[in-house]
Order: sequence, then C-alpha cells, then structure tokens
Amino acid sequence: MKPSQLNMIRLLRGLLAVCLVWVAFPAVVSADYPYSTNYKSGTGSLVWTQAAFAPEQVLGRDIFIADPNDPSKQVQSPLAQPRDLFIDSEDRMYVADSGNNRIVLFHPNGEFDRILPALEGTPLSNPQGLFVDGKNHLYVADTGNARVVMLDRQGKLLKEYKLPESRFIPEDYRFEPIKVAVDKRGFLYIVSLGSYNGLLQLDPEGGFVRFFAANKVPFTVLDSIKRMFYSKEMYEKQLSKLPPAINNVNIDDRGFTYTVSFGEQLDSEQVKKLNNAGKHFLGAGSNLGPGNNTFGEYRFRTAAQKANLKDIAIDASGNFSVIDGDSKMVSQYDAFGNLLFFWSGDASPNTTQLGIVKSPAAIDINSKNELFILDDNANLIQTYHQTEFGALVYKANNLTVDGRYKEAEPLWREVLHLNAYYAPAMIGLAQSAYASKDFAEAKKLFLDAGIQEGFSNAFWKIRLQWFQDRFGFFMNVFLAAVVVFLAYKMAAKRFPALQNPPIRLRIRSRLLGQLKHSLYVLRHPIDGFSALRYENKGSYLSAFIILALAYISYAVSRTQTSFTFNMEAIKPISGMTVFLQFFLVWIGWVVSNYLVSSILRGEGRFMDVFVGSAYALTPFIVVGLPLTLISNGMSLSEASIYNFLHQGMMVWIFLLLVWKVQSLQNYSVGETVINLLYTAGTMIVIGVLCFILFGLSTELRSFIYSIVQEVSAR
Amino acid sequence: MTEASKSYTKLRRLLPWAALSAAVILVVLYVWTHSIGPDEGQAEQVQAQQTAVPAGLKPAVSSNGELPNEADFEQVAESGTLVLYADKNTGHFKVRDKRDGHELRSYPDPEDWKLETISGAWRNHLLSPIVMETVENASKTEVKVSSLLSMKGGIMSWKPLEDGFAVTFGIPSVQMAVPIEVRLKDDYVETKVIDAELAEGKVSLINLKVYPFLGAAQPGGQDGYLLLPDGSGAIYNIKENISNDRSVYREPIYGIDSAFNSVYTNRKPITMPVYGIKSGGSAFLAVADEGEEYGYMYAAPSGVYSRYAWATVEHNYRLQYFQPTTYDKAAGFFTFSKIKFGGDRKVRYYVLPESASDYSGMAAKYRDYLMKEKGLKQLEAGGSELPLYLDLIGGDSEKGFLRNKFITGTTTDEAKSIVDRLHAQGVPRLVVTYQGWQTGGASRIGFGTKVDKRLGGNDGMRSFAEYAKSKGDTVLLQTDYTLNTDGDDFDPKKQAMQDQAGSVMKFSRLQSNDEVAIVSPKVSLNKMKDALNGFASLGVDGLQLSGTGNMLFSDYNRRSLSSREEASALQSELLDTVGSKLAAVTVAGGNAYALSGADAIRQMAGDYSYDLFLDEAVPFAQMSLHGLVPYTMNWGNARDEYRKDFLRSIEYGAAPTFGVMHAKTEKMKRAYTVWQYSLNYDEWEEAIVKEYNRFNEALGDVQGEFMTSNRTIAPKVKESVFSGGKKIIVNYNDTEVTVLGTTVPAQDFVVVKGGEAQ
Repeated sequence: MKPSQLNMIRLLRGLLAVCLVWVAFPAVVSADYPYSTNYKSGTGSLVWTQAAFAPEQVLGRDIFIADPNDPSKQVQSPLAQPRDLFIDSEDRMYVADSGNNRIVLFHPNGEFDRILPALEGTPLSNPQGLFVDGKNHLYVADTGNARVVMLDRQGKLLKEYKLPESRFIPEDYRFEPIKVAVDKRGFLYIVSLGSYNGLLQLDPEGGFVRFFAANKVPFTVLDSIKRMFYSKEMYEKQLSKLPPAINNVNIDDRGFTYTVSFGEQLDSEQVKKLNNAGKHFLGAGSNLGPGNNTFGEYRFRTAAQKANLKDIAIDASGNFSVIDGDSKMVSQYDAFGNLLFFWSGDASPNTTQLGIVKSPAAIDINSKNELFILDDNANLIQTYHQTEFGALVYKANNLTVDGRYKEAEPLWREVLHLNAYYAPAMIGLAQSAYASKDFAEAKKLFLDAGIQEGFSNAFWKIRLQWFQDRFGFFMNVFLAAVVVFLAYKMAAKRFPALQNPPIRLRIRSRLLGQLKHSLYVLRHPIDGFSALRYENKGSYLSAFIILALAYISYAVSRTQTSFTFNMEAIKPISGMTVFLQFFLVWIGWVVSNYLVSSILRGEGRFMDVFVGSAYALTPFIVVGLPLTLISNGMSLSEASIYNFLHQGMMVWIFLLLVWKVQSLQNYSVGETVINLLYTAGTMIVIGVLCFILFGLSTELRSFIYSIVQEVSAR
Repeated sequence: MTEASKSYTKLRRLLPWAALSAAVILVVLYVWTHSIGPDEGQAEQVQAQQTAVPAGLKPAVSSNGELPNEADFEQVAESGTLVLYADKNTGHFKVRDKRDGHELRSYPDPEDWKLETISGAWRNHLLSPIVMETVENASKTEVKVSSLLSMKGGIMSWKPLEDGFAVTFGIPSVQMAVPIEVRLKDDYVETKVIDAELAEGKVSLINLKVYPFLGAAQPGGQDGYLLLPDGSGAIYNIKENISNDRSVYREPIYGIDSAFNSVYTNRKPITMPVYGIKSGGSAFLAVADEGEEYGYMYAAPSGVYSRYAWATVEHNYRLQYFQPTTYDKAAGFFTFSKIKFGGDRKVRYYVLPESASDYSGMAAKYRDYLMKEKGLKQLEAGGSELPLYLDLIGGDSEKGFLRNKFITGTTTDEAKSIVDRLHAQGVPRLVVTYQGWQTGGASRIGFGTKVDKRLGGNDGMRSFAEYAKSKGDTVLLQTDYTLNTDGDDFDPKKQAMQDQAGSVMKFSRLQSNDEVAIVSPKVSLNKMKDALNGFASLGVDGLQLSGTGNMLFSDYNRRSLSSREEASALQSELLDTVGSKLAAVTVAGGNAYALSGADAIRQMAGDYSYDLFLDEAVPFAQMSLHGLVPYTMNWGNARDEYRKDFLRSIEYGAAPTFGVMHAKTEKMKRAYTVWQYSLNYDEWEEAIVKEYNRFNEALGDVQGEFMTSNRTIAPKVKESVFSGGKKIIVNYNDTEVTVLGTTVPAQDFVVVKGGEAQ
C-alpha cells in the first residue's frame, strides 16, 4: 500500500474516533476565530495559516416593512431562503429574497436600505438570481415565471426576457432561469436549473445567440468498455452520460465569464474562466507547473466527496473565492487559479456563530475586499474583513501576478516571516530571485515550495552557467585527452607490449564468482541463467546479497533521484514502506512462479527460481544507481532521456525475468508466455486470497465480539 | 449383550461428559448474564434510596394560581445585608438586599409576567422551582422535559433551618423526590440538592435545573445582560429577539467529558463555574460551588423559551455514551449510564449592590470568592517589572527513512545565548518554559525526566537552569502527565483512562495525525511523585503541566476508577504535589480548580465563541484573576491578527509571551507536532523587545493590583482601570480617537495615571 493510502486510512480512523469521542484540542491550538484557515501545497501537505479573513458582523436582521394591518407601524420582515446576493460597483448590496418573492437593497455600510416595490402585472415569483450592470440596470432571474427581467434602481420594469424562439434550442429544453450575468455589451448569460446545454446567451434584444461554456461529458475507461458492449439504447440511458450542470455564472470587470459547475464525476474545471470567444484561462501551464485546474478544497477528503461549488466572487484584481455548499469551505485563488487560502468552520446544529455559515447560497466581495456570504438556512448575511495577513498576501500576490517581482519581494519576505510554511510566499520569492538571476536561491525556494518546473528551470540556468564558467577547463581536458590518446597509439605501435591487457586479479572466492556472474547474466541471459542452474554459479547467499543490493539501489533511487523527476524526494518516506512494496511483489512473484512452473513441467527447483529472480534484479544496481546519480545533473529538458533510461531499466528487468523462466525451466517461447500469464494470474489470486483471509478473520473477530457485547452490554 | 444394554452402556459412558458440558454452559451463562458492568454494582443502592411519594400530594401551585403570591412569603432568615423570604405553597423564595431594597426572586420577574405570551408546558416550567429532563430508563434515548408543575408535583416536606429552609419536592406519578436546601449566608443565598435523599422513582434523571428562572428578566429598555463564562467571558444584552435564531447556550463546566458521547458545539470550554445576570440596578453573580464538575452552564436569550432571558446551572446526572457492539466500533447503540452521578450540588447566588451591578462588580465578587473560599492570595508586587514568558522549543522528531529523525530547535547552550541577548536588550526577568526537551522532542510525551542528548542532555539542562537562575530568571520544563506516547513505563491497557464503554480514551493530535492515550489521573499523580526528585535534580524551578487543569474526564478504568469530581481533586493534588517540591508550577487554560495550585495560567482564552446571540466578549476571567495569578494569552508570534491581539493582551492585562527556537522555522516543516507558523528567535528578537517594553509600560507597575473596571468608552475604544487608579485606554480603530480628553493614536493605547495622560 502506498504511504498516502496508509495515511488516509489512519486519518479516517482518526476522524471516526473524533466523531465518536470528541477530545478537545489543547488551548494552544485553538485560534480565536471559530474556524481555521489552511493552504495545501503542491505535494498535498496541509499548511495551517493565520486567518485571511476575520468574521465581522451579520447583516439582514434589520429589515422592516410597514405592517400590512396597520401601515403606521413597522414590523420586522426577515429574509426567507434568500438565494443570491450581488454587490455593485458602488458597494451597494442586492439580495434576491426568494422565499418572499422580492429584492432587498442594502447600503454600502450594510444597513438595510429598502425593498423594491412589487412589479405591476406579474410580480416576481421565487427570484433566485440577480445581476447589476454598470448602468445600474438590475437583472433578476425570475425563476417562478420562467423569465429574466431588467429593472431600474427604482424597481421599474424596463424589459422582459423569455425563452426565445430558435431552432438551435432543443425541444425538450426546460427554461428555469436561476442565475444571470450580463456583459458590457448587454448580452445575457443565463443559467437554467439543471441544464447541461451550457449558459443560454441572449442578445440585448432577447434574441438567441448560442449556448455558451457547456461542459464536456466526462469519459472514463469504463465508459469506453461500456460503449463496446452496450447497445446504443442502453448506453444512452445512462444518466451519468450528461455533462455536469452549471451551478452559477459571474462576469468580472475585465469581461471574463466565470462558470461554476457540479457533477458526480466532475474532478476538475469546477470553475471556468472564459473570454467572449469561449477560450479557457485557468489551468494553463507556466514555468510554475501545469497550472491548477481543480477547485474547491478539502482539509481531509473523505471517499467520494466532491466539491459542490455554489457561487463565485471575483475581486478587482481577478482573485476569486468560491464556496462549497456541502463542506461550507471557502477556497480562494488568484487570477491564474493558484490556491491562496481555504477556510471553514464546523457548523454545529446547536449553535449559530458569527463567521460560521450553515447553508451557503451566494458569495460576493466588495471594493474594500470585504467578503459577504449569504446563508439561506439562517437567513442572514455573514460578512468578513481581510486580516493583516490576508491583506499582505493578496497585495504581494497581485504584484507577482503582474510580474512586478521586485516590488513583491519585501512583502513576500514579511509573509514568510509571519508564516514560514506558506508556499505561495516561497514561490513569489523564487520568481523574484529567478528574475534577478539568483538561480541558486530560486532553486532552493522552488524546492521548498515543491514546484518541479521552477526547480528544473533554475537548475538548468545554474548548470549552463557552470559549464560556461568552466568551458576553458573542459576544452583543455578534452584536448589533453586527445593528445594522451594519440601519444598512446603512437607508443603502442612502437612497444606492442603496452597493448596487452593489464594483469587481472584472479577471483578465487566462489562467492565473488557467483556475484560476478550477475554481470554475465546481463550480457548472456539464456546462458547465464542456465549456468545458475547447472554450473553452481549462484547460491542462496549470493542471491540474498544481490537482492539486498537491489533493494538498496531501489531505495536510493526512490529517495535520491533529483526532485525534477521525483516528487517523493521532498516527502518523508519510510524505509519499511519501500521494503514492503519491493519485497511483497518479489516474494509473490517467486512463489507463484515456482508453483506454476512445477505444475507446468518446469525443470527448475525452488532455489533456481529464487536465485534467478534475484539475479534478474541486477539492472536496479547497474542502471538504477548511476541513473539516480545522473538525474541530479539533469533538468526537465532532458526528461525524455531520463524516462527512456528509467523505463528501459524496467523493461530490461522484465525481459530478464522472461529469459529466466525460459532458460531455467527449459521452456519454448510459447510455454514461457503461458507460464508468465499463469504466474501473473496466481499472483493476483494470492493477493485476493490474502485480502479475503485478512478481511474474514477481522469479520469473524468482530462477529464474536459483537455477540459478546450484545449479550453483556444490553 | 443385548442391543439395548449396549446402547445403555454407551449412554452411561457419555453421561459424565454431558453433565460436565451442561455445567460449563451453565457457568458461562451465569457469567454472561451476571457479569458486572462498570455501573451495575451500585444499582441496588439506588433502589434503597426510594421513599414513597404520597399519591394525594397537593400540587405546588401558588395561592393565586400563577406566580407566587407576594402575600404568602414569610421571612425565614436574615443576614447582615440580606433577608430571605419563602413561600410554602410554591417552594419559591426571594432575597431582599437591605442596602438598596432590590429583590432577587427565584422565579420570573412578576413585573414582566403580564407580557409573557408563552403557553402550554413551558408556562408551567416557568413557574416551577425545578425543571428536569428524564428518560423512562437508562437504555432509552428519548429525553422528556418536564417540571414540578407540569408533572403535578407538590411539596412533600418543609423544614425551617436556622439560616434558611429545606424543602423536598415530590412527584407522585413517577415517585420522584428532590430535596433542596436554601440557606442565606452573609452576602449570598445558596441552593443545595442533597444527593443522598434524591429519589428518582420510576424514571432516570438526566438533568435537573433548580430555580432556573432565578433573576430572569424580560427586555424592557433597561440596561441588562447575561454574563456567561464563554472563553474570557461574554455578554448577551437582554433585548427583543428580532432574529429567528433560537439557539441557546449550553456548555459543560470545565469542558466536555470524553468518557461519554458529547455534542460538538465548536465553542471554547468553560473554565470558571460562574454566570451573572444584570437587570437595571439589580444584579447577582452565581457560582457553582460544589458538584460543578457535573454542571452545565445554560442560558436562553429572550424569545427562545419565553420572553424571559434566563440562565442557570444545569445539574447533570447522566450522560449518553456509545456502547459499541463490534470490534471496530462501527456499530453499537447509544445509552445512558445506569447509575447517576452522585454528589451534592451547590450554587451560590451573590447579590450585588447597585453600585457594583455590572460585570466589573461580578468579577470583583468572584475574585473575592476565590480569595475567601479557594485560598488565592493577592500577588506581592515584588519588582515593578513584568516577567517575559518565553517558551523555548527544544526539538521534535520527523519521520525518517529507517527511524525517526530528531530536529533540534534550541539546545541548552543556544538557550543560554537567547537569554543573554534578551537581558542585554533590557528585558529584566524571564520565565523560560522549555518545551520538547524530552528524548524525541515535542511529539513524545512521557513521564521521564531525561533531557534529549542532542539538546545537551541532563547536564546541559542543569547548567542552563543554573545560568538562568544566576541572571534572576525562572526555568520551567513543560511536560504533560495527562497524555503518554511512551511505551517504557506506561501501559495503555492498564494505566490509561477508559470511557464508560470500556475503551481506552485517546487524544487525537491534529498535527501528527495520531492518537495518544490519556493517562488515568491516579496514575499521573503516582508517576509524578516518583519523578519529582528527577525534576528537582535538573535544577529547574518548576514545571509547566499542560493538560492538567484543562482536560477533565471521568475514568472508568477499574484499576484507577475516578469520577469527574475526583479527577478534578486529583489534578489539584498533582499541582500541589509539584508545588510542594518545586518553586513554580504553571498550567495551560486553567480550570477554576487548578487556580489555587498554579503560579501562572498560560494560553488563557482571550476571546469568546462568536455565538450570534451574544453581543461582545468581556475580560471577565482576566478581571477576576488580575492581581491574583499572572496569566498570558496566545504567543505574540502565533497570533491571527498581530496588532489587534497585541492590543487585546494589553487591554486584558496579560503578561507578554512568545514561543521561539534557535533553529529556522522551516526545519520543523515535517515535524510531528511543532506546527506554529514562525518560531525563529532571530526574526522575532526585535519585536519581542519592542512589545515587552510596551507591555511593561502599561502593566509593569500594576501586576499586584486588581483590574477593577473594563468598559467600552467609544466605538472600539476600551478602558481598563486598575485598583491603584491607573487606566489603560485602547483604541482598536484605524483612526486616531479622542475620548474623555485623551487622544489615542490609531491601533494603539495610552496609559493614564491619576486622570492625567502620560
């Protein structure tokens, strides 16, 4: 099992224990705010940070209207299942109070302003989304009436958009507008409930333009198998074959359209950032790596947990925050989609706390970087202000994103001073160091931050510099070598004795001979292996030594291969785990192969299989070790060389095993293939059996225990 | 031999075996059915207590049908400042303050009664002297809320006492009898539930609230609030409930008991068993004086259960726990403990005069209580310089390829140089707490007294302690006798705490993602007695015991059985034991029972739990303790908001504290438990010295003084006043503010002495 899996299991058990018996953390861990803030680095390790946003206050408890029975009096009229919140360019806040079929306005300071008068004719019915454009026109997704209305700030109806007639709209298209956004040209982008066609884009007059930003159908290996075997009807009936539906839409000041999607099988592109032409702007690679394309973070993900993002808020610099409706996690990214923070607190059913959202419906941010989250269960709005630390990080990151590395540097230094583990600061400083040609520093910082591409690029520069500095020296060495060689050739002509090989030491020890035989096996596998069998060229002792060397080489290559090719280089890795991974597979192979061979008229004894399989691992020593060494002098631009050698080593080992079977068991090629297939099958069966045996014994123990418990405890 | 005789012999041969197996089966069955669970042993005792409640008991209804009739009250006791009156019809009482005539009633304020709109069961509850939660029997989980009047109970017996009265409430339908004594002492009235005479009858008691509406008030424009011991203290201003928030405050005193299943609330644990209610000019402070380990602080804002805002100490008698039936604890059932928690339950209600009817007055009264009843003494303000509480991280371990790798944080030699550097920059006195000094560093928690060799070993520590002492500093070693990761001298199966279901109790460490066994308090005490000489021989001044004084659980391990009440006594004893041998002992968090044995409280909560119905955090705990026990809040280098938290530390009168190490912070990147964001001493030196000087300027000369008042004097501007007249005005605004003639810069504070700005 991988260490990460082991960790996961330990973690789940830990979580379970926490659920059953909650043990308070010591006072020192508990921060003052009722939630904790995190960052997750590229290696997936969780970093705890100071809060980026601090709870400020709740809004929406001071809404008063004239008493319908006695208009001279004011009565309280709280929000009811409000579904959307929008903050316009002047920080005025609008809330779609869906349960009360109305729109509520708030002043920039958070105080209640007024309620828009009911529309004449058809009043709003369950309005679930709204948007305010630069001209102070208010667009409301009037879900219950299947229309979008455009109002002025007084609430007067200016225009009404219904589903337009178009042959491009499918006949079974159900139009239930829940969210709406409008671009600078006045084009509308409408989210219809559960629609997988994408956003319905209308022109300012209400004419159909196109379906925009539709998600792709997720397609897995399993699907391709199903497609092969299922009939067309069966295949189409599969519900999961629909593209993930868009949950929400937003448009920022620069004209980018953002969609937020949710689907059972959606593992990436939960957030998309598109220009008018539909081009994606997130997840694009840079010198920092492949770019982030998954959104909605978790501290500890439980199996099958998927981010269910509800809404997105974009600040003036293009940084965005999304909120997960299930985990209540707020995740914050910069304009390129790189993670900055994520935070959430545990909402207890018994408490309502400042800063803790029970059921988030919408999120938005104003020009002062205050965050607003609409809670449609508690029927109020939680507000947050940026903390010192949050403000510092955003300021520094905005400068880095703009390429002003030098200006960002002192800020990042301050961030790193406050939190030495905060990777974005390391990346920011690394970029700054790279830009100012301090490649050694950049390399170190990229290593700390876990960024392979950046590390490799910095290393490439260092290596280039190193070679350039020593160009003269290398040329001299080369010339000297040529001269020496020529001199030797000339001398050899005159004194033929020089051409005789130098006197070799005779290896007398049998063990050394057996060990040396492993090299012979590499060159002449068929002969070499049969010599193991018939010429006593191998023994258990030599096999164990080679096995131990192979394990050491394997472990060294796991831990010492350059970070450029090996993410594990900066993770803690346990020798025991590597040992188990290495030996369980090997022992499984040896046992299965011996059993299968002895049935299939093989001639090899157990010892032969054991020794042969050990000798077949020699490439780990002769290729793996040097490759590990060389990898530390390679950058990503030589990745193909590295990969060729690395995979070549694996292929070689595989071939050696094949030859081992063929030669030791004295098989024809066909028999060898059959033997190999059976061996593989046996290994799987042994694995499954072990698993079942282990599972069953646990079950049995649990069964007996539960009977005893039932009798004694009840 | 015939066929018949053959089979007969065969049968005869089988007979002994059959008899034997039958006997074995019988024995097994007997053991199974009679195996004594942790609590069944005392079940008979409960039965024995039962006294019959007469069926025709007259319900305890007032002579006018609703609230007690004023005319029915008779004077039963009198003290220097108070007079106690009681009503024999209802069992209610009232206390009149002779100083200003204010009355404290054990039932809702009659002035507001006409505005009360609630009907049904809760109207009865409001009138009742006792409200309880019961289950039909312990294995049921359906909890029923009832009260004396909703159950048509009455007064079984009434006995005047020399300083009060004793009343027994009886409920005939379930044969429950609740005996209560009410006594008037000098400046307080005390209620006591007598455990020995409490009869549960046909039901099992879960919670009991005694006179829950004592001092309850409705919003009516008066200046009134509930003070709750949430974090540092929090205020709910009594006001109309215009939100649809119906949440209440209910938290166990001294935190949850992990031996049982608890509802997670995301709130800070309660360290002080107090609450207070102020309504207009009248106010009182309630202190749970006995049996508070089983108390829950309960408070309901106006508009949740009636228009009254009320608070009470809920006496808990049973807790629910999860009885697993499978080995992996995945399946099982919830049940209540079969026997109830014992112990008398005493609550004191201190009546405050109008001149002290605010939270400052409440804090002063609690301080008074701590000094009179718990033996705390006013600090002698030795030097006028504050000590700097400096925590040094020794080291920690990380996962290595073959075995754990030790990460050195601060060696004892490096510690010397840090101490030197701070003294050189004018910090006169340090209290150094060495953390992670044990072999293996901070992630290893054991009973040992061996200092890791890589830090300098025992000799290194001895020489450091000597050196620091010569400079006038105090050196403490942080250790934790409530947790143990060690296999050497600790056997989790025998010496760890066990929960009610019999599983070993574990503490989940978030950072290292593992679980650590929790040590039985009796074991902790014995181990500490053994280890004390070892600590003393290291030459240190004392210990910082984390865990002790903030983790309080019942222990069902049969080898070391201790109730929560006993566990708190054991923890106090542990502190006293250390205190008797070593000069100083400090604790983290600081539950009230640990205050008298501790020389300082570290990591004290400086905020509240952000409940929406609560209005603001107040430094109640700090006001009670300032001048009695020094305390610190969060490390200055581990704050969420540096400036704000710095200002709050000043406002709350906390001593300055930092946690640092000599190594670079990044070295701890993969450490098991050391996780703090920024720990490098070099990076923080300047800030430490600068902050220390500001702390010293504000708080240095008032260390031994009480904090007599804390109030808001303008939006986001707070004022703390000390008994000598020194004032600190703290401005949390981003702009400069002038209040009461004093100008305070933005995000800063000024010190005012005798009404003059310095």
